Amino acid sequence: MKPRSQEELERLLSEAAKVRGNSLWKDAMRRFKKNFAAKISLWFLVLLSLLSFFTPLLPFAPPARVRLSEQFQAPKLELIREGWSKAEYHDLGWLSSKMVDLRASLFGTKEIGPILGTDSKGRCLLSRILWGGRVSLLVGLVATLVSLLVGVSYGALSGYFGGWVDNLMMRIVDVLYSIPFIFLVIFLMTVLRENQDLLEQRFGLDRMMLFFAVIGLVYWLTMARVVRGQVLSLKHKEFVEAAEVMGASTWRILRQHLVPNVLSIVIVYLTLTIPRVMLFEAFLSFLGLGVQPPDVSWGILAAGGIDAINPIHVYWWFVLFPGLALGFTLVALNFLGDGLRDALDPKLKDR
Amino acid sequence: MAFLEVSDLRVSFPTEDGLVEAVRGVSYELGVGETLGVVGESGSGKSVTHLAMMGLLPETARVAAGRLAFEGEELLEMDEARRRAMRGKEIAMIFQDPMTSLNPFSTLGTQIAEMLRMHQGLRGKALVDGAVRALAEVGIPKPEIRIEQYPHEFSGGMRQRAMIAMMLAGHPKLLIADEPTTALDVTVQAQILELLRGLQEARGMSIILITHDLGVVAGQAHRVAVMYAGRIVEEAETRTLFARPSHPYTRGLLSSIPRLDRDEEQLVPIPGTPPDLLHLSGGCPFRPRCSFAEPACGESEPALREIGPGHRIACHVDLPALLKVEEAK
Amino acid sequence: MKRNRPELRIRDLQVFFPHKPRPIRAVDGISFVLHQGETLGLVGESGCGKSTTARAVVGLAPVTSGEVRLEHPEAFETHRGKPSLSFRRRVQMVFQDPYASLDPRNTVGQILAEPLEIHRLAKGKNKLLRCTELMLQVGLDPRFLNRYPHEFSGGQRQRIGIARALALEPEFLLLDEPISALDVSIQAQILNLLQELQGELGLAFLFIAHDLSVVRHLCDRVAVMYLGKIVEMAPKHELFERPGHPYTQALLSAVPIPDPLLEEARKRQVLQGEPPSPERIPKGCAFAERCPKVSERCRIETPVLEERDSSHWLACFEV
Repeated sequence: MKPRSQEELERLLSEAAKVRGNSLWKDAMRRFKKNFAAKISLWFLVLLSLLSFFTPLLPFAPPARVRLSEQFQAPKLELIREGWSKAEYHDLGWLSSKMVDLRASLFGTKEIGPILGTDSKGRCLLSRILWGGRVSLLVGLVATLVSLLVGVSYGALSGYFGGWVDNLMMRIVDVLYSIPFIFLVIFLMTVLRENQDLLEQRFGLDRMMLFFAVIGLVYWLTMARVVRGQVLSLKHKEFVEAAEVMGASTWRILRQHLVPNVLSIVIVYLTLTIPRVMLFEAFLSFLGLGVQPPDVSWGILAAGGIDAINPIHVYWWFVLFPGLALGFTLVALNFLGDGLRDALDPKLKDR
Repeated sequence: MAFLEVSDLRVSFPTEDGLVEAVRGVSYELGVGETLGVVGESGSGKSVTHLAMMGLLPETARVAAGRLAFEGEELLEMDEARRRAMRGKEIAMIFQDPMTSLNPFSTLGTQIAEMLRMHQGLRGKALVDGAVRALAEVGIPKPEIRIEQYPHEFSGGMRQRAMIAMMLAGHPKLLIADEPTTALDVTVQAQILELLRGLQEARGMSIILITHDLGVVAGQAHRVAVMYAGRIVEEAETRTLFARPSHPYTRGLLSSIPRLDRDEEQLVPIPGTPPDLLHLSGGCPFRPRCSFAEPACGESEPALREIGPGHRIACHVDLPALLKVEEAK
Repeated sequence: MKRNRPELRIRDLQVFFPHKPRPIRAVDGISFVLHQGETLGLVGESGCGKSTTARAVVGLAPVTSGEVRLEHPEAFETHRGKPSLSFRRRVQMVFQDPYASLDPRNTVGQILAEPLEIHRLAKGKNKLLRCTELMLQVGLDPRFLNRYPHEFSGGQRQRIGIARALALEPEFLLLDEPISALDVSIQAQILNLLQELQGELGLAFLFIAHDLSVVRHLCDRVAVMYLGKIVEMAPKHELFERPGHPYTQALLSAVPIPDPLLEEARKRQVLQGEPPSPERIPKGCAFAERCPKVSERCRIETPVLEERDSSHWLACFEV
């Protein structure tokens, strides 16, 4: 092979820059697109998230407005009516507050009527579902993110170091695993509730954020185990060994080789953890341990729904609409997770 | 009526990228007590052909043939019950990885006994003695102790012997061996090949030996079939094939492998890469890599034609004539 | 004393792995020298320790005792399990499995750039130019620099692995069964490439293989290992034409030759039994229980590797 001149190399290099390879991510996206259920689920979730985010901006009734004169109203098709006022919101964050202000200037005192009915206190169910959705989705996201950060780092380090370090770290996980989550959460929430004001003043953490963090701390354990297992099997792969032979530092190996290869399993796991977290939140709020009134979440709505079923009047809209909202979201997340898993399956393409 | 008659066997698989035609018209005959070596690389279809014969392919595979007859009986028309009865009793198959056939959770004795009970109807003490004898016959020392052991307590070569013992428990007339020694050390390979030769002589068994190793077929097979891209491209008696290889692929293979007994100045590799079965062009699939290609090769796929007694090739070019001309120059 | 030509010296290398009841003696005291530009073949069957030896040299396996020493005109480097970065610059490895040895989530460009980045040999555009050059060197189209491993065939992937090993411009290349996982028709392409590269770059190869025909073709000298020890080491022709050790003889007689007439005429020496596992190495000569020439002494004493003729080393009492 003859030596190449500098110019020739440069020319070849510029041609190379025009070619883009098909990364495994691209292949995965291709496979994903073929999965109808997963695609629909993704769209649904995207729309739901957008709707949730922009809820304060949209002309719904305030979710916490109590009007006993309108209690137990069945769904009726009254699309627009008057009577909205900015005063009936509380505890709005900065952004939400700004959005409500904008809403006020856009829609004035008009609002969408009780098209899904009202509850025992006359509060608009549609509005409560949407505002509740914000909380539930946020819980899902934040808690899962916390579990991701803690779980991935813990698991990756444990798996890569191996030996007694790994043993120790995994035994800790085992011990934590054996504690029933319910007790842990109840304990933490009770303690935190008593010291709520203190925490809020000292650290600026509101109870909602605390709640999220607590759930995240409970769910990181499985993520840690999953990541550790994956790292253990990757550690002995020849491409990792090749990096070691070249003299790559531990940090480089983790960053360049281990994390990207763990990412696909982490993503799948994430999308499957979110529904579990949401259900957990619903469960806790149902028990009265999670979100507190006047805030609303799907769990609170589910709790309210149970009250609605009595032998005299069946307030069916209490149960049906929140149930549908939660149900569809969970199903969509599951289909998405399954679709991602099938798409990202790390089977090498040709052998 | 030939012992085993294969005529125009075709196997295809639907995949997410399209239909893969793994086997595209394989035809050959095998006689009693004969060993046929089937040689090919990955993608040649050598394994799929024989898995199809045994009915061991997944549900999604489509198998069709002009004729696929064992002792006159059509294999593709059999129902599952008859197929199962045949497997082990009349046709048996052994694989590269013995753990595909050995159950890690039960002892060797149990597994062999199961075969003996099914195929030879042995019971009680005769069954135990039969199991010991089966292990002894494949050269496993101290078989009385070994029958109580589990597969993981055996070494690689022992496991291979155990699998052979199990598969031969029914005294099959035909043994299909799919790369039986590829994963074994060379000294163990020699032992296993010797064992197979011995068993063939003792039982008059026919063997189809699937491998990529031309050295192995040189020492074991009476006849050789070379496969490429799902078809047989050359078939001949072993001596003839090595003395007068007439298909460019066969020649290419022989000039590209180093030999133990002499120094080669230069290895002449076959250029290019194995064919992509998803995208086969119209003509001969070997054409992109063939140094003797002619225009006809791009137009149609050559059929097998006889160029000597028992010597067939699938090629448009008359290679022997061409080479004689080269030599004369 | 400074040497004129670089050399890789392995002295009394032992690699033991912790195990109950006794540690596994994967490599049990071997010594050899690899000179610049030569090819030394290390052959043997499974469990003999040839791969472990190579892995110990590059720091992938622990060095229980002994020394790995690199001598070249500027200085020398020694390591006992943790090679320094400058050692790694001069001694690199090509792996067996072309599918597992490349990170599926990196482009070829990233794979080739990694050694350059770790050793800070080039930056920015120069780095990319060097990658382009490496691809050309191993016969790959450099326009595929941004492609991913799964878009290449097995043979091409192995070329990438070789290019990666060459990025640091090493003097010694350890090749652990580099062609065993490839199709037969591709093996010759890679073998030719390796010979070409050796000629061009003056590399020394430690070629680990179980396929003796390939070893005969490629190597200048050959060392035969059995259960952690070298039992015979000689120049190529000596070993293949006048093998001294009974194991070598049995090994050679077991290798199939693609020539039916020869196969029929050959006198086969089929060994009985199998190599004992490295967990239970017997007393005396490890080969005693299978050796056709075994004597009482063999069962008690362990033979030492000694030089018999010029450069022909043997560890046997009976020959």
